[in-house]
Amino acid sequence: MGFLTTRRDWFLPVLLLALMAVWFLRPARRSEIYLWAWERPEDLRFLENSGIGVAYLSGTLQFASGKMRVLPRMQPMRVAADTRLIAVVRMEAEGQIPETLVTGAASAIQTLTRRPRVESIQIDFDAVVSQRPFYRALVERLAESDKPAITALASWCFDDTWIKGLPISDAIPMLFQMGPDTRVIRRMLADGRDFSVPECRNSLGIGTDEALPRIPSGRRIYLFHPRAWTSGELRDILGTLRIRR
Amino acid sequence: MNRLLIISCAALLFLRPAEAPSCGPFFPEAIFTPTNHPIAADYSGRGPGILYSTFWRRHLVTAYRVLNDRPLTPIERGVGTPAASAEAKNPAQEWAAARSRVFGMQHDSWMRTDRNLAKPEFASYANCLGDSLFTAAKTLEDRARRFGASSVGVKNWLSAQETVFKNCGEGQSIPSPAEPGLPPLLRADREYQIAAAYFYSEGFDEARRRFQAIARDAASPWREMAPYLAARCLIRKASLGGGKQFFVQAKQELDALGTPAARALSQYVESNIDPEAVLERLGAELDDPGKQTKFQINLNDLTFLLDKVMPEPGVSRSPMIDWIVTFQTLSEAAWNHALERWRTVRSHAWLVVVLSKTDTSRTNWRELLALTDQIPRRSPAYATLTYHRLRLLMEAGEKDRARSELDSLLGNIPDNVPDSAINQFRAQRMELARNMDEFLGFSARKNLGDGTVVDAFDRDSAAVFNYGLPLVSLRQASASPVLPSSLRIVLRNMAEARTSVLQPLAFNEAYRLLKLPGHRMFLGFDSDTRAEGDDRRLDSYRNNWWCEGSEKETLSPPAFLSDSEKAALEEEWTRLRKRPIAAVTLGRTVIDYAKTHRDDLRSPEALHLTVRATRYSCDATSPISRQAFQLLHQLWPKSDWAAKTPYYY
Repeated sequence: MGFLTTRRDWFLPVLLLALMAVWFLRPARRSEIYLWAWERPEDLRFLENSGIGVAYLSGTLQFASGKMRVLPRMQPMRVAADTRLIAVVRMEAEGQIPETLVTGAASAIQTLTRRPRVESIQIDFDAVVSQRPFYRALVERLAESDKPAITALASWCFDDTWIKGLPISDAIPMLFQMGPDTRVIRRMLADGRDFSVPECRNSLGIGTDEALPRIPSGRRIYLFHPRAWTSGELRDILGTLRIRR
Repeated sequence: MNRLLIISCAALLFLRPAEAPSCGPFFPEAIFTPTNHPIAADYSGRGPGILYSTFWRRHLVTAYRVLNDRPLTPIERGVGTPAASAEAKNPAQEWAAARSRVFGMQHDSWMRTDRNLAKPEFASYANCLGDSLFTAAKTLEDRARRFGASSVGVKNWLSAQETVFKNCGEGQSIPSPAEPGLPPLLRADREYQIAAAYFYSEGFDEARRRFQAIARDAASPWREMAPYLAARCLIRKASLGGGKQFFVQAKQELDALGTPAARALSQYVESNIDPEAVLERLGAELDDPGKQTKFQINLNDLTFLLDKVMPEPGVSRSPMIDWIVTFQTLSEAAWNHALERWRTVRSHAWLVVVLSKTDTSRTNWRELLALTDQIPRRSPAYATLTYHRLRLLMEAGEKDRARSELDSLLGNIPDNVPDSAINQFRAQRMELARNMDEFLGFSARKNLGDGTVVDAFDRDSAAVFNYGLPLVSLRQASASPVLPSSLRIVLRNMAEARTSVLQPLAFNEAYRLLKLPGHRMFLGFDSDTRAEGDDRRLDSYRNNWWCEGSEKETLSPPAFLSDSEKAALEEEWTRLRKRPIAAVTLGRTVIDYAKTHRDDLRSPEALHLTVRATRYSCDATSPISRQAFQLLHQLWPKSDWAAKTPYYY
C-alpha cells in the first residue's frame, strides 16, 4: 500500500502545513507609539495621519512641608485633530506626604487633565518608600472613576515590586536614566527575559538620547526626547528603533 | 544601666530621619572650577577668580560691575532682604484659612487659579494671582468684624466672592447684583466683585467699563485701585492676543497713574511694546549704584529679555549689555568689536573679552599678550588675564616661560585669587610637569563642591592616572609623600586592583580583594560615596571593584614618561581592554583554588564572597555565580558559608 495515496492520507499533513504557514506569516503585533511632550513649546501637528499619539505633561504637583502646590502646563502645544492624547501629571515631593492631601491631589489631577480629546491619564512619580502609602491611596482614589496609568522605575517592575496589585491600567517601565540598574535591566531585556510584574508588560518608556535597549515586540512605546520634537528627528529615531508600524 | 538603655532607645524614637528626594539617587559631585557661576554669587570673599563667557548672564552683570570698580552695594546684594522661603504664605491656603476663621468650617485649600488658553490649546495662564486671594481673605475678615460673620450681608459677600473665583479656572459665573438693603460698603464690594468676575472670565471690555465706573464712585473703597485694574484689563486682553495697541493704551494709563504698582507694571508692558528700549534702560540702571533698590528686579527682567532679544555685538548703547553679548558671542565680528572697544576705553573688562577670544593663530597675539605684562595683582581682572596669558604661552610652546611664571604665581598667590582659580593654575602647571614629582605635586586640587574644601583629583589629573600611567608609575605615585595621604590610599587601592588583572592572581590576593569592594580600577568623580578607609563597604549601586573592558580614553601619555614606560602602558592596556568584570577575575581564581584546597577554611568563605561579588559588581548574570554557589554547596553543604549563600545570581 503506497504512502499518501488517498485524500485522507493527505489531509493531516496539509492541515499541519497550513497551520504552520498561518503561524509564520501572521502579521507581527504593531507597536503603538506615544511621544511624551514635556513642559516646553511643542508643535506636533506633523503627527497628522501617523497614528502616533501624544502623552503631554498637563501639570505638576509639588509636595513639601505638608503642602501641595499645583503648577499647570504653561507652555503651548499644538496637535493635529486626529492625534490621540494622554494627559500626564508629574508629582515631585520632599519627604513624606500626608494622606490628608489625597483628596486635594486627586481633585487637582482631575482638573488638570480634564481637556477635550484626552483619553486617559498617566501619573509620573518616582515615589520613595515613605511616599508610597500616599501614592497608593491617591491611585486608589483616582481609580474610583478611572484607573490611571503610571510610569514606573525599572526596579519597580523587576525586584522592588510594590506596585503589584495597584488599581492601574498600565505601568510603564522607564528604560532610561536608570542609573546603576542600567546594565542589569539591559542585559535582562537582551536575554529575552521580561519584567516580573504583569502590569509592566504592556508598555515601555525610552529616552531618545541614550543607547536603546532591546525592545520586546508588541509593546506600547513612549518616547522621551530632551528637546522639542521635530518631524526629522522623530523619523530618524523611528528608523533607529526599527519599530514595525 | 538598664535605665540608660531605655532612655537611649526612647531618644532614638525622636530622631528625625533624613529626608529623601523622590527622584534620584543623587550623588555628590566634585566641583573644582565652576564655569557657570562664581563660587560666591556676589563675588564677595577673595575675588571674582577666572571669568568665563559661559557664566549665567546675571553673574556677568555683577562681573562687569566688579571689573569696573563698581562692586555691588549691600542693598544690591540683597543683604537684609529676607530670603524666599518654602514656608511663604500660600494664597489659596490663606483664603481657605480666612473662611475657616470667619465661619468655622474647613475649606479645601486647593483651588484652580490658572485658566486654559483658548489658543493654542493645552497651555494655561496664571489668571487669579496671589494678591487677589490675599485681598479677598483680608476683606472677608474686615467685613465680618464690621457686620458680623452671621449677618446676611457677609454671607452673601462670601457667596459672591466664591462665584468670582469660580472663573479662575474656567467658565463665566457672574455674581448677582447687590441685594436691596445691603449696607453701602457691601454694595460697593459687590460692584467690585462683579467687575472682577468679568475680568477673570475674560470679559475684559465689560470688566474695564465697570472698573472705570467704580473709579468714579467717590464712596467706593475700591476707587483708587479701580483705574489700575482698568489698565490691567487692557494688558490681559493684549496678552491673550488682543493686539499690541492695548499694551500701548495701558502704558499711557499706568504712566498717568504714577503709583508704585503702576510704575512696576509699566515696565512689563513696555517690554512687550519695545523690548529693545527696556533692555537699554535696564543696562543703564544695573550699571548705576544709585538705582540699587531695583537691582534684583532689574536683574531678573534683564536676563528674561536677553533670552528674547539678544543684540549683536556693537549694537547696544548700554556698555554693560554690549560687554555681555560680545563676551558670549563666538564670531570674528565679536573679536573685532572687543578689540575696538579695548582700544577705545582701555578697560580691563574689555581686555578680558579680547584675551579670552584670542589664540596664537592671530597675528597680533604677542602684542595682546604684552598688554598683560603689568596687570596689578589687586585688579579683579588679574586671575582671568593671567590665566589667558599663561594659556597663550603654553599654546605657543613657550613652556619654560609659562612654567616659571606659574611657579612664581603659585608661590605667592594674591589674596584676591580664590581657590577655584588656583585649581585652574595648578591644572596648567600640571600640564607642564617635567617629571613624576611635579605631576603629582599639581595633580591634587581643592574640591569646593559641598562647602567643605577637600583634596581630590580633578578630571584632567584623574584621566592621567586612569589612562596615562603604567602600573609601575601608579605604584610609585601611591607611595609619594608629595600627595596627601587620602589620595595616596586611593591610588594604592587602584594599583592593587590593576595588579590583579595584569599579573598572575594568587588565591590569597583574590580572597583579600573580595573583601575590599572599594578597590576600584579607575578614579571616579561622583558616585563613590565611601568615606576614606571605608573600602570594605559594598556600594549598593554596584560601583564596586571594576567592570568589564572598555576602550582607553584618547590621551597622550605625559611627556615625562620614558619610552619603556610608554611601551609598558600600551602593553598593559592591551590586556586591560579585555578584562572581565571583577567577580569573574577573582571568582575564577577562587574556584580553581577551592577545588584543590578542601581543607583550607578560607575556601568556603571565598566562594561565598564570590557569589556576593556577582550580586554587587557590574553584572549579575555571570556563570561564575552559579559555579561558585554549586561548588560551595557541594563541598561544604553544612558550613555557615553555605547557609549564608541561599542564592546565586
